[in-house]
Amino acid sequence: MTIIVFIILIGILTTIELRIYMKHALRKLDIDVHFSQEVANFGDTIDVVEIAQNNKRLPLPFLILKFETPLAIKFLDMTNVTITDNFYREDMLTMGAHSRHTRKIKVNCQARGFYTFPRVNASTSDLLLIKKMGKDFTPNSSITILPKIISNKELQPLMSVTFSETTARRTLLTDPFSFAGIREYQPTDPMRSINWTASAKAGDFMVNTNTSTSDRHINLFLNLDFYNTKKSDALLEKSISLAYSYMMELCNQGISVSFFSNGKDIVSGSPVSDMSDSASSGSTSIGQRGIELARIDLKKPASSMTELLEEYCLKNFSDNLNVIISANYDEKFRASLSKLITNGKRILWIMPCSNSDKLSSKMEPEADIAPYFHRWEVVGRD
Amino acid sequence: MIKKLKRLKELLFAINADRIVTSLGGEIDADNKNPSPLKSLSRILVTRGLLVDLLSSLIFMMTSVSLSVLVELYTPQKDILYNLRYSVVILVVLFLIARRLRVYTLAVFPLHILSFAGYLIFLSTATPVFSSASSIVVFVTVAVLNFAYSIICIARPRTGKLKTDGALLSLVTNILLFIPVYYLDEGIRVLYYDRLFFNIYGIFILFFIARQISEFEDGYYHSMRSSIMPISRIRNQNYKTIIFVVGGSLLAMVMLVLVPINFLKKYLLYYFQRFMEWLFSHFSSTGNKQVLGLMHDLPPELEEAEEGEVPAYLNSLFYVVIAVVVIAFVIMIIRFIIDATKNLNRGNESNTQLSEFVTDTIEKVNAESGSNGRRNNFGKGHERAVRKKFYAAVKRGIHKGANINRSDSPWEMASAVKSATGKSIDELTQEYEEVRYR
Repeated sequence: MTIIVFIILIGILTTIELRIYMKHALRKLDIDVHFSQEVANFGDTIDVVEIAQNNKRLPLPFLILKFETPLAIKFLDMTNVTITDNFYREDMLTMGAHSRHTRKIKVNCQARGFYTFPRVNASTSDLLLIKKMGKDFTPNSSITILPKIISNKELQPLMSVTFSETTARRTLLTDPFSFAGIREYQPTDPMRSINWTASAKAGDFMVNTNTSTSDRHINLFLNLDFYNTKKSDALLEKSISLAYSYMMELCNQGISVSFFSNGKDIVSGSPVSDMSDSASSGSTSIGQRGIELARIDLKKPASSMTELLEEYCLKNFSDNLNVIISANYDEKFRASLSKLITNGKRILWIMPCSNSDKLSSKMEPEADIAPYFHRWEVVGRD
Repeated sequence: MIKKLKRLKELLFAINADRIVTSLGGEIDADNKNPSPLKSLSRILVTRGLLVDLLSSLIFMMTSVSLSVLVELYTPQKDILYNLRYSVVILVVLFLIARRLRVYTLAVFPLHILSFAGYLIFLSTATPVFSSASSIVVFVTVAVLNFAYSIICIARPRTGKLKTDGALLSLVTNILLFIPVYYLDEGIRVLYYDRLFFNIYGIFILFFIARQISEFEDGYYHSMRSSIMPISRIRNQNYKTIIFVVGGSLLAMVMLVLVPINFLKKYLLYYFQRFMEWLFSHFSSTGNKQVLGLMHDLPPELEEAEEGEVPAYLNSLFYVVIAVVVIAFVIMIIRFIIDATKNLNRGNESNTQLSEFVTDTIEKVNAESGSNGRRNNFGKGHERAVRKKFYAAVKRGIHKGANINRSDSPWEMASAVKSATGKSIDELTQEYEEVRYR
């Protein structure tokens, strides 16, 4: 009889304990997983912060926090991390009564993009480890990783071409404050241009020459159409990095840039274009453009580049240089470039490509485009 | 046959530690990197699952002692040095060490035989076991059973996780032993009943501890062996649970054994009867002090009346009162323990750099008002009554599905309650506003 009573008592106590934990274990439990900052540069090391707070008297033996992060965000400590399509991490936290456990894990930002936590799950057990209880939480945190910045050394050839294009004499109007050089006097030169000091030295009349009046402004177009049948995106990523680095360098040089792209935002789905003047807005504008570039989703089909060029380049009567970064070289695109050239527009086509790819006949630009074509080689295979 | 011989040869000449660790699903030599509390022993013993193995062995040991009772039934002597049979725990520990040593498996068997011989020498020299044939038979039976258990463990290594079938079998065996014991003489029968009950209780406790450790260590194997998890804290929490549960049940058992329950019950029942008599006599028109018809006028030690003479309703009432008092007492003890352990906490915050890339901060947070288990402060007197009524009405409304937010005004709450329950609480709300916001 005593044994039966003993067994029944154990059963009752165990059932009570189980019921209490099943009902209350996951109540008053605050779980938060977030990134330590909302925007990070490519290659930066930031923190993933896990916070679990138990706001009740009932202690939990432990709390297992599971969450996924995209592969672009790599944990520097890969303990308890499984790699498949995402990183799946499982952490065990202590959870006494009225306590908070905060864990900071260093991660490295390895790819441009806009990322959130797809899923966060917390599970625990009762004190006697009989029953496991779990609950999903919806995290609100996101991070935008800016495109990779290309080094000045790699960017130098492009910058040289850009500077030569922006400063070339295109109009008759000269800038009296920009000194270009001294030459011999010609009858058509005005008297006020005579440099008397140089004339005295040379023994003949010498005049000053000035550069063109030029409003240094560049329209930058980024074409994110696929460039091969495999729909690879390696060169498209390079194009985005190139566009971002290029804009930064131009801003540093005091050259204003208007940016246009046929890529689409990962969240809103709208095309990414920005008419604002980056030079006047400064680093804030560049930062904002970096965010816009980071949020481009290459999985979404790009809108028509031809229409974009027609709207913002062809119909624009300014004499600005139009730099087009495009790995895509299909006939439709080249036809639109030819049309721009025919209409007197100044263009510069920068084509990122792998240095292992030979320039096929299809990639060869037409005779009218060739003078404005610049091949920008990327190390390695596509 | 040849395959079996080959297998036996592989078994005998394998490294014992590798064989155990592989069967437990771990890596060879993983024990040396295991941050287990028994790290210092891991060079000579396979420490993974050691505690669970020890506890499983002790469960079987208790069953073997119980089974010796069955052997005793066929010997002329009964109750032969019963308590000394538990000295087989020495042999159990020796067998455990022998089968977990990091040596060749072939060497494990001679170690077993040596241990067995050593135990027999101990029994013959230090105890009176060898003074009679019956005691020799009983003690050798217990030792042989444990020897067989250990050999089976070697031949079929257990997985790290505790299997419940072993404990269940032990439990059932002990319960079934009540049947043959029933046919013994009354005096010795009661004695063996107590012993079997003690063994069953011991098996429960050992199984609980083993299961708690096994579930923890093996159910969460990867987390428990990670260098960046707060393992010591979590492990301590588990140990506290074990101590709390085992300690509590041991305390209950001790109280059951030491406290003379029947004697106390008789006294309490007697004075309870006196009190009920006095209570009813005040309300009785006849003034008859014996309105309940109770027979007892003398304290229990002077009264030979049996418990059966007490009216059933009074007996039931008595048990209900006692149950309420005991439950209140237990709750008070639990709250005291919780408050005491809270005060013993090491501090409010600890910051630990677990590795170069991971930092943990564990801190206490202040309890929110109203969440500490105590009731809300409703004030005093009339205000308290009105506010409690309103609170109860709103709670009823919430249970019926009323959509009420903390920020709602009293009239908004009343409106929500009315739409959910159909009952109007306007008067109560009016009164509530007067007492609450005057």
